[in-house]
Amino acid sequence: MNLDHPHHEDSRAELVGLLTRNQRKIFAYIYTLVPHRADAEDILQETSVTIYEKFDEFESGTDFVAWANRIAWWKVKAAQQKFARSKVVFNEEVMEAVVATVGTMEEEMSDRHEALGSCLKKLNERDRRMVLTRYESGSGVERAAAQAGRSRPAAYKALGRIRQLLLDCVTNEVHKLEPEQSVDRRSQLIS
Amino acid sequence: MGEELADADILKLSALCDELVEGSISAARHAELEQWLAADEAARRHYVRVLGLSASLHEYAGEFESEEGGAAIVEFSKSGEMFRWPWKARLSLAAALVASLFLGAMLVREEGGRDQSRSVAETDGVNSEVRGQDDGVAVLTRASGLEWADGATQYRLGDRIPVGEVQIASGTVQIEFYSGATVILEGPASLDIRSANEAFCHYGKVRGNVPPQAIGFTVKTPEYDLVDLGTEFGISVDKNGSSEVHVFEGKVELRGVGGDAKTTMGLAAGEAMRLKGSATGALIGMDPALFPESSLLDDVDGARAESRFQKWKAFSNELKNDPSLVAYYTFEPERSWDRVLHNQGQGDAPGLNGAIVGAKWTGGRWPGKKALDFKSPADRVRLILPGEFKALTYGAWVRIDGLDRLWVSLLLTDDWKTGSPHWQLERTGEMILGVRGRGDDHNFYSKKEIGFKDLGRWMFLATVFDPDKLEVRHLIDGRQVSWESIVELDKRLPLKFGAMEMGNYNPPGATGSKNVRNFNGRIDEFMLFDRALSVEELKEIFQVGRPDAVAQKKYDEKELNF
Repeated sequence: MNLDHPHHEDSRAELVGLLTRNQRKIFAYIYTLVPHRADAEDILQETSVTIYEKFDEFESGTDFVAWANRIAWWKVKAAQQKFARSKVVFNEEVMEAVVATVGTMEEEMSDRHEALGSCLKKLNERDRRMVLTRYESGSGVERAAAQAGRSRPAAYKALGRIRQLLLDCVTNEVHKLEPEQSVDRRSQLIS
Repeated sequence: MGEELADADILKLSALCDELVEGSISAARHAELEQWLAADEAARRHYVRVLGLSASLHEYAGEFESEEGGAAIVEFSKSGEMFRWPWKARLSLAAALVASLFLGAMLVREEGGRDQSRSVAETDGVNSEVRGQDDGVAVLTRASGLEWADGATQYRLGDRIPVGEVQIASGTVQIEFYSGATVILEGPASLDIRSANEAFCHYGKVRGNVPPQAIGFTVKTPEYDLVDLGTEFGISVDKNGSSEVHVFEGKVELRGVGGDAKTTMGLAAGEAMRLKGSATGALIGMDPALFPESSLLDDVDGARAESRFQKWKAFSNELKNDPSLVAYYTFEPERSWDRVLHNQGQGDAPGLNGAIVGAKWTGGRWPGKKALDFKSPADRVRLILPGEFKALTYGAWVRIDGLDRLWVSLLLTDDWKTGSPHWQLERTGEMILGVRGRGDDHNFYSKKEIGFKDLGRWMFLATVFDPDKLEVRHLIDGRQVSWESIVELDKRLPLKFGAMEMGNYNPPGATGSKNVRNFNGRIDEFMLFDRALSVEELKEIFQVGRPDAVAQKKYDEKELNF
């Protein structure tokens, strides 16, 4: 290990900090284009390697997430070949439009992520267990259904309802944070 | 632009997004969503919020994984702090280590690729991949009390099943078709798997569960075809030609009843029918108890796994006393946020207590057994082992999820100097022990043993450096797959580790993609002995530690002959 090169320490520490803080945002960016966890994680991994190889091209002080997302965008396009026959990827025009929209929502999405933490706490035990089981790595509706002792169609339905509750709660929480800003007003109490 | 969506549109759009996220969206609905997103900024914003919610839920759910669900969620409901703490703690602890490690390589790349000799010979296989392709249409996921029929193909848990016969003499197996349909088959039974969405039942009992993605899943019988229109049914076919169909949920359609291809009959939830020969059948009482239950399989599986887990624990406790076991990792953390991998072996060097960087705790071979999940190029366990060694045996229980680097680290020393040993895999599926000699490299390869079929299953890899017999042996699942003479290498050469990494590689002063060697998969037991273990000893370690109770394929026909 070469720990005795102080002029490199800064850039290493900087990259670690930036990656640690922003990995989630980059994942969310990829996920909006490739809404499948394992695929999105693979792309995130590819993206991280390139970030680390090209970090000397990054201008300190500029927008790291935007820079990283641009790398992620190319990785998604590169992966498109792989997903071409699958139905989870949109055509390029739509992907570009979605990406442009994501670019304007970065702050809101961070707020929403934070708010989701408290909204999860407001869910009842059964719903929370079910939704977290569904979203565990390698899990899915089936496991959530099995764990909740429900049929799969019932689990699909329940998950849709829970997501809607969470979405409304998050919107409500974010709205509370910034009362002057107009956000979708579909707030409902979590029951 | 900027317009808000009407409530009805929001619901409609949310439903489309749900189907997308669950992978159940039809082509037509997908096109509808695509057109909507192309045209409407407000729809795109809503889409980003809904997808962002799912992305965040993956993150939040990840924080509980190592806690086996229940306990953590209870704690979570008691206190918001508990909910956030492990994740944050993990990051802050990891950050310092990552700072010095992950990015060590980045620092180094600016120093130029002066060291070309460190890597294994590069002529072979640079562009080759793990052999094999997925010719499976289904996967064997569970089994209980299973005996294969004479002469039948024997599958292991996790094996992909290609088109062909599955024949069992007794017991039950669960088969998940790639279409999404799951069947539980109870022996004696013969099921001819014809595609990812179709099987032919010669005889036996089948319980089928068909999610929306797999509607149309068909079980053919000698007399008629059963087409599932969603959810759950049982069908039993006797060798004498009579059969019963029970519908527990949803609907099925029987086509070709009575020998007339055009006759179609529907059966709905709660209905059951007995059919014999060309008779059109009689309604009978529906009885789910006649068919194998998934939950039953759970209990039996659970009990068996628990007993194997306990046996392994007892064995593992004995193993710890072996004086030659220098480093031994059982991957049984006290806390799910432990970032130290404690050495249970006899070596007392403090550096043998590994520093876990990046890798997350996850499930191991049995329920309740922990493992480390290595995914990102940052993930690794840092170790330091001083001293010199003559003989070595490496052993590791791994679940390889992909061989996606040219070389993939199992245990690599940072240095590549005289006496440095490198234990790793090549993308082609070869196991390699590399040893740096006095000025020359020696790489002991297995054949291309690890194939596509092995991805995603637990396997026991072992490599022995035996200076007395002058050979290096590679073993997979207790079976010797290769040996190679070490006469070219000075057998008295002392082997030296120093700083090293499990699951990754941190060469000082080296650069290039060849040096990105992060392991992709899980490790849940790792051992390093300073003597050469016999094949019998390694076979025993494998037998005790093997995760499944399913009869293994007989290796005899495949045993290599040297």
